[in-house]
Order: sequence, then structure tokens, then C-alpha cells
Amino acid sequence: MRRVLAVLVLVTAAASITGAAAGGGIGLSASPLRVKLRGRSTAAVVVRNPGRRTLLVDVARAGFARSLRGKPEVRPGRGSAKWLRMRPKRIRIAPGAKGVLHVRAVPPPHATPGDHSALMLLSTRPLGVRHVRVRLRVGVIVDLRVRGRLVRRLEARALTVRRRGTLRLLQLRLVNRGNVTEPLVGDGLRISLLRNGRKLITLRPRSRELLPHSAGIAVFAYRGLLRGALVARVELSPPVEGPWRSFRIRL
Amino acid sequence: MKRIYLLLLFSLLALPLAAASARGSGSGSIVVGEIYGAGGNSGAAYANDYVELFNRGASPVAIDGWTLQYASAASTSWQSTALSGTIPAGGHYLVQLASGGANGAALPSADATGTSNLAVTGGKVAVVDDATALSCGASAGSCAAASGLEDLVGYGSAADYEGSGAAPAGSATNALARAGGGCTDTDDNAADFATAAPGPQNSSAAASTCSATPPPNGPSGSAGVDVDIQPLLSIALDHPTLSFPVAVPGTMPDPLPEHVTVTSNDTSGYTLGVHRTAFSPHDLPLGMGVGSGGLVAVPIAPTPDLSLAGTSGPSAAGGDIVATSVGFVSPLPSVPAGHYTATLTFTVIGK
Repeated sequence: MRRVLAVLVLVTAAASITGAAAGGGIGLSASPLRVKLRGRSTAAVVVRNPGRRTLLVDVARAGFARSLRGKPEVRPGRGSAKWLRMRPKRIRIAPGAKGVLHVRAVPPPHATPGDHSALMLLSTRPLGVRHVRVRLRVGVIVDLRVRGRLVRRLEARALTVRRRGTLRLLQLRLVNRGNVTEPLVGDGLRISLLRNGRKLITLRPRSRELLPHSAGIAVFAYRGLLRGALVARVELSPPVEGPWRSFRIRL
Repeated sequence: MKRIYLLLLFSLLALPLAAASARGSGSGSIVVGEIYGAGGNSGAAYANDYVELFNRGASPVAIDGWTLQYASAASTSWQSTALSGTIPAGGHYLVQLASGGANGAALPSADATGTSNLAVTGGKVAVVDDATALSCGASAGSCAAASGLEDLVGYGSAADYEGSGAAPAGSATNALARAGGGCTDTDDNAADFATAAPGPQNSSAAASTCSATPPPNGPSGSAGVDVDIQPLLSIALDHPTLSFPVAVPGTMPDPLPEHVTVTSNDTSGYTLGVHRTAFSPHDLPLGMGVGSGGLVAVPIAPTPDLSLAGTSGPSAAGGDIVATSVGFVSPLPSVPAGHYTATLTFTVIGK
């Protein structure tokens, strides 16, 4: 089912969102799309209505998680979402107008130190009384850091190779046992391929992050000509706690 | 003779304009950088209320004769604290105000001292470039045209403020701080301020210049052009409701088109999903397809969303248009005649 939908027709046209909403449709936008809070603090989110109909937007909170491959997921009523206070909880926005929402983090005294993520969900009220009514929802990710001892501890569990023609996809399964969200971007995480102890090439993963106390897969694409048995050494910069490993693979 | 009258008239008009220009030489540069209203209260971080001013401009500004004014949330009666001296570009200026008790640490050496007792839950603070007390503030926007007003911050339950809403209220452990280290001024208190741990800075603190400078006044000069682009995530639909033609059990109404436009300037990308409520009074097999693909059943919440699209980078400049069709995945079941409704929810989340 997902494969069918994965074959998307993603038409990139020059129609702006205001243009799409202006033809009688509806639109909703939020800025920023991610807010970072430290301890008890507040941030503002600006919500705009680019359409031609007045919108009534409900503001709610929800849990946030990522799939193994990093896709954001809404988890109703879970975890640290209950530490968020939003105001107002409902806002009416005229066509072309904007409103400002505030999200405040109130972590309890027993909150564990480190990073906690939740979602601020902005949902339009369904319009019309036809057969299928439509609602828009924008999720703003709220990253909350609770003060205390921060622990960075990543574990590399397994490395598998998928072959697609000349492309080799190295899939590294990781577990974040620390309490800090690990951004696996740039030089942060690398895999060096070695033969006879000599480093031949270094690969970097597709950008993603790994939430605390979660598992995920980092994907490294290799299009080169190296083939046969190799040693893949996982490297992280800056180094974190954790049993870093080398894996024997065959490209 | 007519020409002489015209010249005289022009001179009379030009005089107040020139005066206003001279008085407003620092206009827009001096802003309220931080407000702390719980000084001395139980649990307070500092023993006195304070307001920290900040020069976000590129030139020093003399503030001799200026006042810092305060009024409670809905009041139009303002209390003044005289200011003096010069605030260098990127410089800070600390105004110490009243104390609500003996709790909290002493402030750094203040540059000016006043007796205004700021409320924690709501109030208005203004920087005025003369000593005349304001008389506005009972309703939103009432101070916008006040003479000499350099900056206004309404917070908490304040009746007047700049822009769309008041800044949030502070607390014993949190001050209100202007975003961007004091540099952000969009004339919208709600957007420009957030709560943060108090950090009073006086004129001895190191200057922290802003990258964007307000344009200088006067007949000539160059103006820096600078703009901060915020991350944005938008979703739009062609049709806010979808109505199928009259149908009978055993048939499948033709799918209806629905274009979803997602705009994101975030380099991490986004995901777009959909779920629905069950049809009322009986559920029907609603499905959805993308492009020329077949229809797939749309899950009913709280089942996780059906993924429609996702990117690992920003959208096209005009947005990514996902061409979907909404229909039924199987012939309509034999259900009682009536009007059946459900709600589709499209959700977009930044990655």
C-alpha cells in the first residue's frame, strides 16, 4: 500500500500557496515549524490564513515520535506533551490575517534531564456540511530541554547492505540510550570502509535525527565501484559514550 | 506677493518637520530589551524590578531628557523615570525599579533608578523621548500615535501593546526578553518577546551589535537592507468540502480531485499524511489516491496517518502540489438511505 503511494506525483508548479487557497480553497501556515524551549520558558508561533475564508483554528498538544527511518509521527496524549501549555487554545483568523500563539513549557520537578519532544497541533475546524468535510492540520515540533546531566550514548547495533543496481545502501541500526537528541548530519556520523586496515572511503548518512531512548536506521548511499568483503567502521564526532563497532560487510 | 506667502507657508510647515526629525534622531534604535517585574517577591531571582534598554542601531543615541514610563495593565496613568546619558550602538542601559520584598540578588549597578512597581501579570512599559507622561493605553493600539513614543511593550494582561498581542507575562524566575538578543523588533510584542531567565545588563556590559541596522534619518545617507526569513510550513487545499453525486448501494461514485499544496522553506523537509473519521451514521469505504495511482483506504483515527508525500528538503518555491483523488475503494455497501458525512484531516509536519 505504501509503495503505491510512494510513487507520488509531486507536481512542482509555480502556483503559490496563496494561489492554491485563493480559488475558494483553504490554507494554513505556521512559523516557525519547530521551537526550542529550555526549562520553563515560552515561545511564540505565528499562524497565518492565506485563504479567503475565515478559519477557526484549534490548538492542541500531542506526543511526538519518529519511525525507524525518521518519519515524524503523531502520538496522541503521550509523554512530555502534557508539560506544554498553549494560549489561546482557539483562534479565529480572518482571510489574509495572522495570529500569534504562545507555547509554554512547564516541566514538573521530577522531569528527567535531557531532551523531550512534543507536538503543537494547529487544526482548522471542518468547513461545510457536504459528504466529506476537510480539515487542515499543521504540526509544530516543540523541543524541550530539561536541565540536568546530559548523557550522549549511541549504540550501533547492526549494519546491513541493500543492493539496487549499482547503488549500495548501507543501513545502520542505531539505539540512542542517552537523553539528548542526536542530529545525525554532516560529519556527526560516518562510516569508513577499510580493506586490509587501509581506509578507502568515508560515507555520510542521509540527514536525520534520533530522539532519546529510541531506535532508528541511518542510511548511507554508496555509488562507487568498491566491491567484495570490507570492514565498515562506524565513527561519531564528537565522540559519544557507547560501544562503537566495526562490521564485516560485502558490497 | 503670492510667492512670498508660499515661501512663508513652506517655512512654517518645514519648521515642525525639522524639529521632529531632530528629536527623532534615535527613533527605532532604543528598545526595551528585557523586563523583570517580580523583583523582591517570593522566589525572585533579583531584589528589584528592572527594565533593560538596548540600542539596536549602528550609532550611539543620547537619551538625556528621555523617560521610561510604566502603567498598569489597563491604566492610562503613567509613572516616569528620568533617563540620561548616551547608549552606544549595541549598548545596554539598566533601569532599576521598585522592590516587592527582600528576596533575590542585588542588581548590577543601575544606570537610572525609579520607583515604578511593575506588576508581574500584566503592564505596559514605554520609552519616551521627552518627559511628558503618556495618557493612552486603555485599548489596543491607543498608544500607537503617542507623541515621543520610542518603544512600547505591553505584557501579560496589558490592554495596549504593539502588534497582534501582548508579550507573555513573566514570573519570579523569568523575565521577558526581546528575541535576537534584543535585536528583533517587528513592532509585534507577542512575536518579539519570550520569557527567559533574567539577565540584567548595564552600560558596563559588552556591546552586542545587531546585524540589521535601522535606516538613519536625515536628508541623505545609505541604508543597509537586511531581512530575516523565518522557517515556514504551509498547507492548502483546493476544496474545503467534497460532495459526491447521489449514489446507490453497489455502485462506486467517481473519485473527486483534491490538490494539496505544501510549502516549506525548511531544509529538513516535511511529511504529509491523511486520516479520517468514520462516516456517520454508517461507515463507508473511503479511499484516496495520489496521481494516477489507485485508491487506498484512508485510515480512521487513531490509526496512524496514510502517508501521501514527504521530502528531505525544501518545497519548490511555489509549493509542492500533490494531486490526489478521493473516492471509494469498493462499491458502496447496502446501508440505509440518508446523508453520510465524514471528515478528512490532512496533516503536515516538518522533519
